[in-house]
Amino acid sequence: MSGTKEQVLARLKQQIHDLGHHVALPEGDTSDWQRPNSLTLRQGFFGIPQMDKCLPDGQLTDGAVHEFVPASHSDFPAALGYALCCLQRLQRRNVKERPVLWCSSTHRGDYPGNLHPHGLMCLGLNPANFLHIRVSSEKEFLWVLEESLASEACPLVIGAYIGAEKNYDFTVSRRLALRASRVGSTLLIIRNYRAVEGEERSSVTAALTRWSVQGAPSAPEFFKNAHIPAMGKPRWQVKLTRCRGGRTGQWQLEWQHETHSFNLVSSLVNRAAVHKPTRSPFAATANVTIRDQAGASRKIRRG
Amino acid sequence: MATNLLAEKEGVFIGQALADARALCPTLETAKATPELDHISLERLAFWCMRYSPLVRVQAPDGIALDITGCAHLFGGEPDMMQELSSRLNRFGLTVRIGLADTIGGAWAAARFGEDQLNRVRPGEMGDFLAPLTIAALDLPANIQEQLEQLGLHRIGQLIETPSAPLMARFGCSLPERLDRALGRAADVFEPLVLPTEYHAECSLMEPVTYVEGVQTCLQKLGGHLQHLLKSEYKGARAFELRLFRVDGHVQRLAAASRTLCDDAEYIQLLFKEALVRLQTDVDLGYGIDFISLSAFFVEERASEQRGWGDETHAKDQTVAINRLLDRFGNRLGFEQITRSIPEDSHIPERSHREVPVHIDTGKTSFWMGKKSISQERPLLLFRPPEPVSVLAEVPDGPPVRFEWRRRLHHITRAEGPERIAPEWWRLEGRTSQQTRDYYRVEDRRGHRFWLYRDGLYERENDKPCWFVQGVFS
Repeated sequence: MSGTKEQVLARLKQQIHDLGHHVALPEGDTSDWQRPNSLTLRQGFFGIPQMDKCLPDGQLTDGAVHEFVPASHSDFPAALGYALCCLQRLQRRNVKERPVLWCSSTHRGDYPGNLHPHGLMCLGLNPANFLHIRVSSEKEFLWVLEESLASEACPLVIGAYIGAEKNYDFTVSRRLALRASRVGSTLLIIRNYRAVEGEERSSVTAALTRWSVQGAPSAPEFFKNAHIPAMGKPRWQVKLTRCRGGRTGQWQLEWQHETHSFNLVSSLVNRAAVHKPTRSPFAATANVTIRDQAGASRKIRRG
Repeated sequence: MATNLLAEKEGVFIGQALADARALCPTLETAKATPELDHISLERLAFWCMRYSPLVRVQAPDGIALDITGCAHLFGGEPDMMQELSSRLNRFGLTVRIGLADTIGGAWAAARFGEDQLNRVRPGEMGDFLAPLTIAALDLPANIQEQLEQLGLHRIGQLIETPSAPLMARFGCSLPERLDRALGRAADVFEPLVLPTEYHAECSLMEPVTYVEGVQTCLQKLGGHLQHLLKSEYKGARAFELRLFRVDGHVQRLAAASRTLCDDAEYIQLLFKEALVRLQTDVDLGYGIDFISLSAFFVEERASEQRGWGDETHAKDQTVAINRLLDRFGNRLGFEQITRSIPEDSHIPERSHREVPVHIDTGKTSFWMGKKSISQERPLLLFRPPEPVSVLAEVPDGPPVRFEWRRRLHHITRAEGPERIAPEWWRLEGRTSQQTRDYYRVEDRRGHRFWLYRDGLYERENDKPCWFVQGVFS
């Protein structure tokens, strides 16, 4: 009897431990709390021990290429959002905000080629830092990425394949990676969702990490008068599929826009969306009728 | 060979033997002909003539042509302008004859064969004026002129009457063509000597170059010249033009621009790098280039800048680096392709920001910081214009239950709203509809988040309001 009690206690303790990572600031030395700058320097990139363990030195390294692949076509905004949140974390490493160069290859793409500045602000980025280069072909897109990586002016470059990708392969990515490593600038590239599942040519690249990103249902927020729960903070199912000098892994992350940090969604919270009986008029009436029927049947039985 | 007015009064004329001339006028001063120097001074005079018109060219060996289209009224009409020009040139100690006509050839003839010092051919009277003149007034090659004279064609009037086909058969195209041009029947092209710029460097090549590397070497040299020119006057230029003159008469012009005032040879070369790469791939250099010129435009006074110190050094270096990078992008893709967004004072999402080319410095970008408090949850990607969707929603103002977008059905599990945005009735030009919009943030079963809105209210503005998807969240 006592053994089972201990087991239950242990399981509960484990769950509380998992939930512990759901707070904005991670556990650490209390001395760090007074010095937020050193905090960001000392802790890992994500501030989540499980994830930082997988990355080399616990950091998303500067001077390298990082790839983000949407899991499906409609996951492009999720991949872009996750990449921008990573960018925000990278931006935070420096005291001064650095310019960010945004370039997208929109050839045959069906998402807008430009970022909405108000949306960037919601993620905690300053739109004034963003430079947008409009290109007409993939060749120019890659040229822009390469040139901006080679220059010291733009330490952060973000490129997005909104349309199809044709020329991005190992050679091209190697060129980009070499340029990046020479100057120490970072490239976050959002690739086409079909890029990796395809042939060997485009799946093997010189990128340091590759993330597969999928949108995930956010935590519902229930309000008294609403029929449908409100949307929570953005969540993604993130898979680190390739990591040179590290390990791969899979997590569900949530972005805290107040603190500009990632949270690990623990197993307790990570459940299927709660199927509360939605109190929309149709559903409500349906429930009522069922109950009535049940009641009626009971009555009949009683009778 | 030339003579001046005084000598001519004594009876000296061109083509006379020197001994005879000396016999006629013992005090005659002679000097050896120096055509090159003459040409240089003529060119200098042509530069001077730019005060009358920006389009000037030298007519070798002894003339200057001005295209005064649209310039005459600035000097009080054509006769006054001629008077002014001649009096000024006279003051320089030069004897001038001026012809003014509808065509280049006509003006040439009027200047040399007119009765007076200043000859003005009224508009439309070209034929009448030319008819009594000798055929020399057409400035024909010597052999054609000789042959025509042998045929007994002495006056231009005779030529005008002659049908052009036999003339063409005998003398080639050049004769009728020249006649037509002089009469204004055919178009004539006025190629100005230089565009009006002071900062200009050029070099003539002994051997034509057919490779881009050669052009690059020349550019380096020319850039050095230009750098010297600009630096000595503390000036910088914003645009440059490189003209490559091909052996066969074709001129290739390459332009490059800079965001900052530039006076550095190395930087000029960097600006032209992309253009030269394109030259290598797209343009046929033909038999080669034997003449290259480089001119600077938008030249401005350069404020002397001190290099920053301490923390600023880095910031300054970075500004220089970013300007360099943007110049490279701009020269290849066009400067209007590099944009930055600035906030606009509007709550309508499509109008809430604007893309401005970076080179237009509005200084408005810092406004983003002030906007922080206003911004609610906004999508990362905004559709402009919004895309219509078919929606199942509660009436009158419930959140949508499901919607179909791009032929895909999305079941909504989370919804938030409405956020009501009123139309801007004070704007008359209506590309966006003038209806109240109710915005909803929704999420579908698979965790994709959208920003939907209903255009118009039920039973108030519209019976059947349409739904649109305005954006997608991360």
